[in-house]
Parts: sequence; C-alpha cells; structure tokens
Amino acid sequence: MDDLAQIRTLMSVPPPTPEVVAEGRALLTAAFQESTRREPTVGRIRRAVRAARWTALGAGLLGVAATAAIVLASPETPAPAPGHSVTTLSARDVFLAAADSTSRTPATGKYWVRKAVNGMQHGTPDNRYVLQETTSVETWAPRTPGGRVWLIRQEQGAAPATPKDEKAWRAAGSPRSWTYHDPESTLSAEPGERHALWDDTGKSLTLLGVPMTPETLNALPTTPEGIRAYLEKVITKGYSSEPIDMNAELYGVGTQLVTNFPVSPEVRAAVYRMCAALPGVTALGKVTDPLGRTGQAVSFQEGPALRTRFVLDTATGQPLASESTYTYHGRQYEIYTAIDSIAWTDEEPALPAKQSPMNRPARP
Amino acid sequence: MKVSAPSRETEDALAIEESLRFPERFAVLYDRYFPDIHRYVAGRLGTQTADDLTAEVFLAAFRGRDGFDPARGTARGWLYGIATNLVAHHRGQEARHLRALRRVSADDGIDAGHEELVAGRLTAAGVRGPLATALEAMPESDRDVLLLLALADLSYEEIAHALGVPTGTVGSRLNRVRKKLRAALGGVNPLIGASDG
Repeated sequence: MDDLAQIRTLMSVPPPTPEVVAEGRALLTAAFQESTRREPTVGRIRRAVRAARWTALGAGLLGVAATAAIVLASPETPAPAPGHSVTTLSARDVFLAAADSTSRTPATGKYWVRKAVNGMQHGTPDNRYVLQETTSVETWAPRTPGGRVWLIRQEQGAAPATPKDEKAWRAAGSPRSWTYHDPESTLSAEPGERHALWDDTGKSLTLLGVPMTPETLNALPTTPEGIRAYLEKVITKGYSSEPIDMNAELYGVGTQLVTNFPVSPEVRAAVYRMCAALPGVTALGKVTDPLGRTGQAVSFQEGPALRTRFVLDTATGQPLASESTYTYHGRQYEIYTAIDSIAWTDEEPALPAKQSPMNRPARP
Repeated sequence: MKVSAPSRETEDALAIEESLRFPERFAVLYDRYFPDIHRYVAGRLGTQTADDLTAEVFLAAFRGRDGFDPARGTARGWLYGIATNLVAHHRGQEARHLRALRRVSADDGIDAGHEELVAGRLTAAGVRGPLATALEAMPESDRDVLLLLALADLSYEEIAHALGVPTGTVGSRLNRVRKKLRAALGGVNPLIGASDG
C-alpha cells in the first residue's frame, strides 16, 4: 500500500445516506427559489432539518429525515397532502381533543417503547420508476437514568411505489434488487436483518442539541405555559442569533417532543394545548395515514414551498404520522414516519444477534 | 453529420452558465458531485460534520456561480476549492477528527461513529497512529494539496486551480510532503501493524 492508499483507507467513510442527500437537495432547491423570488426559505429549512435531526440516529440510522419531514413541493404544483378530505374540526379543536384523551392514558413501566415505520421514495438507478423503501425502527428508552437505550432497526425491503411504478417494474423484468453506482449501494426487495444499536451515555436522544435524558424528561413542565417557556429557551439557545419565527419553531419542536421522546401524558397534553393556541396552525381534516389508519391532520402555515402534515388520533391522543410530499423533476415523492405504537412496558427488548454501539458522539 | 457527446467538463460548464438564467440547472452539479465532495469533507472532518457542510459547499458554489470561469479550470476542481475553503473554517474540528482517527484502532470506537469504524477499518491498525499524527503535524497548505490528491484524486492542474496557486508549487509541495510522510511511516510494517510506539 502506498502512502496515498493508506490515507484513503484511514479516511474512508460510508457514502452519504439518502436522507443527507435529500436534505442538501432541499436546501439547494430553496436557494433556487430564493434567487428568483426572494423567499427566505433556506434558513428556515436548514433550521428545521437541524431541529429534527435526532442525534441518536446519526444521519439516517433511524431515518430521521423522515421525522424532519422537511421537503419542498415546487410552488407550481401545490399538490395537497394525499388522502385529504373536507375539514370539519379546526386545528385548535384537534389539539384540544387530543390533549383531553392523552391525559387519560396511563404511563407505567420500565421502558418507553416507540415502534415506527419510516418510508422514503427514490427513483430507480435508471430513473424509470419510483421505489418505496420502508424501515421499521423500535426505540427502547429506559425510565431510569443510566440505563441502556436500544434502537432495533430492520429494512423491510423496497417495492414499486405506485400501481404505475409497478407496471414499469414489470416491464423492466420484475427485478428483486437495484444497484446504484457512485457510490455503490444496493436496495433489495427482501427484508434485511434485524440490527440493534445501543447507547449507555444517556445523551443519544437530543432535541435541538439538548440531550433529553430521563432526568430532563421527568422534570419537564406539565402546563401549556410552562412547556412553552421551556421550549422557547431550548429554541433560543439552539438557534442563537439566527432570526426565527418562534410560533413555527414551537410547533415543530413541540410535535417532535411528543413524537420522538418518552414524555409523560401530562407533558404531551401540555404540548398539544400549547399548539392549540399557536397562530398559524391549520387543520387539513380527516386523512388516512401511511399505515392505513384514519386521523386528523394539521399543518403549520409554511408558505408555498413546504408541504408537510402531522396526523393525530384525537381519541387516544397518539401521534400517528409525520408526512411530506415533494416534487422533483416533475415527479412526486413522499417521505414519512408513521408511529405504530408508543407505550410503556416492563418487558425487555427481544434483541437480534447483530448488535453494535451507537457511538455517535453528540458534538457541541 | 455525427455529433459526439459533449465531455463531462463541457456539460458542467454549460450547466453553470445556464444556471445564471435557470437556477434549477445547477442541480446537475449537485447530483454529479455530492457523493464525491461528501467523501472528501467527511474524510477530513468526519461524517457528522460533512452531513451538514457538504450542502453548504453547493449553496456557496450556487451563490458564487457567476465567478466560475471555465477557461481557468474544471467545475470539479472549483467545487473542491470551495470545499477546501469551508474545511479551513473548521480547523478545530479537523484536529479533533485526526486525533480520533489516531486514537481509534480497528476494534474500539470511542469517538468515531459505528459506520465510520466499519468502513474505516485498517488492515494494519499500526499504520493509523503514525499516519494520523503526521497529517495532524503538517502545515495546512501541505495537508490541502496532499488530501486533494489522495481523497479527491484531482490532477496537479485542478489542485492548483482549487487552491489558487501555481501548478509548479503543487508539484514541489507534494514531493516534499510525500517524502516526509513515507519517512514517518517507514518504521511500520503494515502486515504486522506493530512498532506504533
């Protein structure tokens, strides 16, 4: 091995994840729009991406970009989010109903367990049709400080995204795997192996850079005013001097807090009540989420560039899904995170043989 | 009449020129070079920093696209130049990353991400320490030329364009730095991975 080859080996890294590539492209697309219409979107998307990145996942470990749900729809095609019907409840009604139901949910157990499905669409290597890729992710977070956090992920296999894509897939000879070049990577139609990642630092789950340790989570305020004041502090610190729309950030960070972290029913209800009072939150009506469940969808007034929605079950107060749709080169793509269940349990995780440390240090 | 396909360089230059009127054309460069630039930035600063910074390279390039002159060099070299400038703003992170590379042997990961570890496994753990130390110890200007050659595989002309120095300077710097580097690694037998000190 010569010196140059040794340097390449020392500094070799895995290729960027599809989420990282998609985030960068969304930023650049926003810059294109800004250059023609002077819409200050880049800073906003960058902040939202950063806010949504769940450090534990690192880039793509948990498919965080899906949670980020920050994608751009071109303003020329303001496609409504899929499956959206006549609005009956206001956004305020939706959040207040969810808050009322939440308070009745008991929360006892050793672990908080979040089971989710992350969906993402990509063009095939020849770009003839679109593939739907799904990954299931279980997060096991201990109630007590010092315990081990487990993430168990499994790729569910890729498949043509729509009936139209399925037709193109058949025409292409019904392949069972797709190889991309530069960098080399392969998507398979078969499910992957279950893989468990663990972390003992207690700092793997962060909200805008603030580690959400069990101590921090247990000490969260349980009133709408209290949680608002706390989140405002987190947001102000997280963005330092950048100009921000505080209401938009409170909505974004608030919905992430209830979707991604082990918070008590009281905290969740407080976040919903806080959101109910935010100007700019709009209701999209009753919708069907990616797992086929019906719920009430809400979104924040994002302007023409952003098209995302948050789906709630008002009867249980559970967040169901975070979804977004974007158009690229005339084709529409969807990204989502759907929460299969969030529950507390005394059981232990069923761990696969394949295990590794998460080991992605939280950097300042 | 047969028309041959334009070269990649011509395509890149055309895309940049067209993007002055149709910004979306710039996406061609993103699609073509994002993985390469990411690999370069991640090699120097770590994956986590590169995940954020690589998009910045393309944003900076897009905003400065009217300053690109195809007569002076390739779009690829120009993008690596912008990336190297941005890396220069993260010297602290680069030092931390090199220290982490030096410390982390093939099987224990204190500081590097899991994926980085798997992919960065050196057959000979013993080479890592001296190599990372030598990289950390050399002047920035030497490290820039060396890594643009080793990680980005740029030609001397492209490196010169990227760094804004004469081509002759690139050649002489590379000669000097590679000689030093080989001396630093000389005591190590990569097959045994020993004598790391």
